[in-house]
Amino acid sequence: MRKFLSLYKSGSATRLKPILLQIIAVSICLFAPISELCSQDNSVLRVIVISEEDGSPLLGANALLYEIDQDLRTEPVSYCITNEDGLCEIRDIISNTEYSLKITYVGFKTYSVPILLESDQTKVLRVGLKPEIGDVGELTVERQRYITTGEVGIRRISIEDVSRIPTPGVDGDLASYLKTIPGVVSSGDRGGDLFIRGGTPVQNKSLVDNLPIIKPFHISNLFSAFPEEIVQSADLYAGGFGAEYSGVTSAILDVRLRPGNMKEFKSSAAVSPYMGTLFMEGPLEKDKQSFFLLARKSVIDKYGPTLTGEEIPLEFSDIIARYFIRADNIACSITGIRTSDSGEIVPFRNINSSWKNTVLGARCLGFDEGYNFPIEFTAGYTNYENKEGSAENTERYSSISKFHLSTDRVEKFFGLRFNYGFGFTIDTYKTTLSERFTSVSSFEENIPILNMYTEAEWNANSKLIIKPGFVTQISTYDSPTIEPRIRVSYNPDGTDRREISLAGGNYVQIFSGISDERDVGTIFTILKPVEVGDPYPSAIHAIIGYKERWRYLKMNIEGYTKKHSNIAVSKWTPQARTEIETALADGFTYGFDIILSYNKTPLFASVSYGYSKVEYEAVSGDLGAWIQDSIFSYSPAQDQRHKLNTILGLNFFGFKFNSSWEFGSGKPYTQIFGYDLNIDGPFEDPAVDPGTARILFNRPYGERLPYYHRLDVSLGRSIDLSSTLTIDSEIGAINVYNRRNIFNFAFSTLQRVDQTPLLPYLSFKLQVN
Amino acid sequence: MKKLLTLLLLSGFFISSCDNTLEPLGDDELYTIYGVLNVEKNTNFIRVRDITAPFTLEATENIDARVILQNINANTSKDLTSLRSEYEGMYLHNFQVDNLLPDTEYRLRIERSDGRSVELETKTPSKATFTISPDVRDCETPVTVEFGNLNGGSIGYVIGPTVVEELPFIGLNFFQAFYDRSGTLYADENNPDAPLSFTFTPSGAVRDGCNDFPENLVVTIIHHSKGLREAILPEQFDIIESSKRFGAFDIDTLEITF
Repeated sequence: MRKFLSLYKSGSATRLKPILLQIIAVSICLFAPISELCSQDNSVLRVIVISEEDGSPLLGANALLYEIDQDLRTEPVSYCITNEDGLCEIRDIISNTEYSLKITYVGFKTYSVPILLESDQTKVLRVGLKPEIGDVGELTVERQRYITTGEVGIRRISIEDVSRIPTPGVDGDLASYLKTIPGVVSSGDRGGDLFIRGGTPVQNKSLVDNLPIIKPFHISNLFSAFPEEIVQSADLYAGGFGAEYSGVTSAILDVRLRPGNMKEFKSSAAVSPYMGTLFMEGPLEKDKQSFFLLARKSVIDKYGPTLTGEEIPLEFSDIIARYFIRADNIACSITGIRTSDSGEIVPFRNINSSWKNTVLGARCLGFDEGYNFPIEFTAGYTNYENKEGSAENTERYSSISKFHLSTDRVEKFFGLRFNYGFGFTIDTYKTTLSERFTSVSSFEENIPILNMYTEAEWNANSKLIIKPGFVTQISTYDSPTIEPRIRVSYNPDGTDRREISLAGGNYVQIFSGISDERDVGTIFTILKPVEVGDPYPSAIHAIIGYKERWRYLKMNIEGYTKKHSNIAVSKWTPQARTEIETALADGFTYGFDIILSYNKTPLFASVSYGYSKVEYEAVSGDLGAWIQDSIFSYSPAQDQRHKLNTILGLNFFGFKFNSSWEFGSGKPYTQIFGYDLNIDGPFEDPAVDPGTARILFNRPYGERLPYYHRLDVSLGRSIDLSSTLTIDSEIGAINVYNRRNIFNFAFSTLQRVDQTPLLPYLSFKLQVN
Repeated sequence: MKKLLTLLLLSGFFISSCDNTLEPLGDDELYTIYGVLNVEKNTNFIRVRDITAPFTLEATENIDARVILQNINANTSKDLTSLRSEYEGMYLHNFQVDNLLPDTEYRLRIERSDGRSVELETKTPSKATFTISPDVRDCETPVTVEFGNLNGGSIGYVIGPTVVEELPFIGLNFFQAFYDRSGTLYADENNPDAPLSFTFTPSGAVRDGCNDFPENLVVTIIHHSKGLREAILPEQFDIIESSKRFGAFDIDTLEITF
């Protein structure tokens, strides 16, 4: 939510307070109402850095404050790094002293300006950086500061990261990139579900411009509502997320869209065997207001059979629009998203799954000089509905709507920063069931939820930062949740080159998702609030990480555990397709990730490995009485133990070559014991009664699928046809060596269902400037 | 760069050679068997289903099963023939049993062409004997009914003013929910030949108690062969037991005069 809070890092000018006083301040200000007593005023330089090329804010730009005659090779007096809004602050600047401010960003010319602030003055400085022509100077890279503080559990994803993953289109997509991250497990190449470090899709939350979007991943799993063209940045919090995020027990995906071009109109049309895309953007008022509009529609169901020899009965589309306005002291955006997906997860089953997302909302960031700190407001509406049934008849329907209001703020007390915020949401759940879920009747419920959080930032010394936080969610259903959080970072040498960090906390969600785990052919999920009196699903996270950065090489190692409680899981009753009952299970996940990446133009290479073990435990009587053990432990579908990814990107002679190879160990599946038509004799007679169809499952998740591996490659080139026309082309292939990776099997027919075979593609994108 | 790509491709091909097969179906069991036979009927059917056959026409068109019913007492055997019928996109195989004898031990053997087989045994129920006491009865005096000759089987009963024709076709659970006087008697595992009895107060078995009490009460009984009643109890999780049923039952009525 609050990127300007979390990314904000100030440099060495921070005044140290006696430790005892700071502990008291943390204690008082964490739990007491905000009071002017705690506030403190200083001279502040608020910098907004934008690109002169298109007017977009620059994320990760360095604002470095030097003494006027200081050697630039030495450490600056203070510095900050811009967030997604291009905003950062340098606080506690000594007034009436002249400084030199330098703004640097890789690929842009360095900007310098003298700074002189009066006592207690807050100055807003807007800086436009011009692109660097030619080779990027090594000095710029040397000076670059990176946002690293407290990064454990967080994967900051840039557009460059996304663009390096081959996808059957000219532009990349966040969905394809996410699957390359260790600890992120997909259900295969369809279904739109991602499991993150043991957490199920309903235990993860996706945000776009602070607005929740329930299932942004398309049914093909290669695409999402976040294509490269419109995403500015994304952060994946795989666990241990701070107090600013709440409502789920596993992970957060926080996506920021970029504003439309503030300088000039642009449009493009792209075609590939997978989909067609139309895009336009431009200023409504130059340098002040802009928009973009993106529309995509899949065509793989039409061209897939020709290219692969197999039916690919998947369809999706989306429309994404954003309006952006930037004034001297405020920046606002209005975001609208509509996605639609449908198809057969397992062909031949005649079960059509579909879902739709609707998101409409606004976000404003106020950074007026009169504000002590920037203030953020978000308001919006989110709707998600999913359906399932035959082509002619919808048998199951479940939806959730959210009206959402929130504000996020910062205050400083006794020299400590406090991020805090309030949110109010009205969740409306609707479910209509006509067949399978007979134990859960149709319902409609409205749940108002108030959530509050606060997080302190305590710089214990120049190397150690501790961020204790607290979250509570209050609904009309049960008692308030109590969710303490903590993040700790330690820089052994006081620089951003290496860091040891810890994160943990308690995480609660007040809804659950019920799906039929017995049937891989269904992705239908009932979203429902936790029943009154039932325990909330919750999780305790603990993560430790070590990160080291050399000149072109980065290494990140993390170990983690998540202990989930009260997860709603399917009972393994044999009456498939007639009903589902649920039981509560506890889950324990642990593992580690290692990521090694090298980035020196023109080569990028990364290797990542993740080990993970997920184990659920339930009382056998609840889960299925035919299991002999009193407590039954099993590995759920997302328990992929080993995952190895390599990504390679190379620019040469105007071409861009990208490849991604993924290797994953087999995920658990449930073997079928057999097929039965149960005759309830003597009350039924085989001569006249057909019996009741039953699929007899063996021990849940007792077997494992074969190993999975796949190589995707692409080669692209951009050609200027004229001063206003550019054509981007890309040739590539998904699953280059045509590995038969299994998705699962259709258990009603025992037919093996494989993932995408070799899928060659040629894509074009025509851009009009 | 070239070397790296080569290495990646080689790794891919190397791993491609690993086992990529899937065994979605276990092979522990062969058939599901539903043979709950009525000794009073001339013709009964036993449903036999290949447990590995999905619900499709192709998979169920033929069944790899030789079904043999052996009369253990007479030491005779008969290959049963299948009456195939179609139901919602699949075939059902019901094997016909003629002239089932009471109080007789039977062995059902089902052989697959690969030599694997399943055997189930039962002893069909005989007509249960019963005694009623006391000899002189009125609507307020408890009556005890004792059953003998049960061969280790169980007795389900319903008491009312008339015969409950639908007893075997609805199930005792239904009656136990609506009648005061219904229940099931199970044989003692340690003494399976011991008689079973129950006691009831006649006024509780009719709607109006002793007012306008009928001259007769009828006890409708279903006598299951040993273990059959236990096997058909609604225990949906007990997959193995619930999908192999072979036994017989006998329906009888007993009139108690007042």
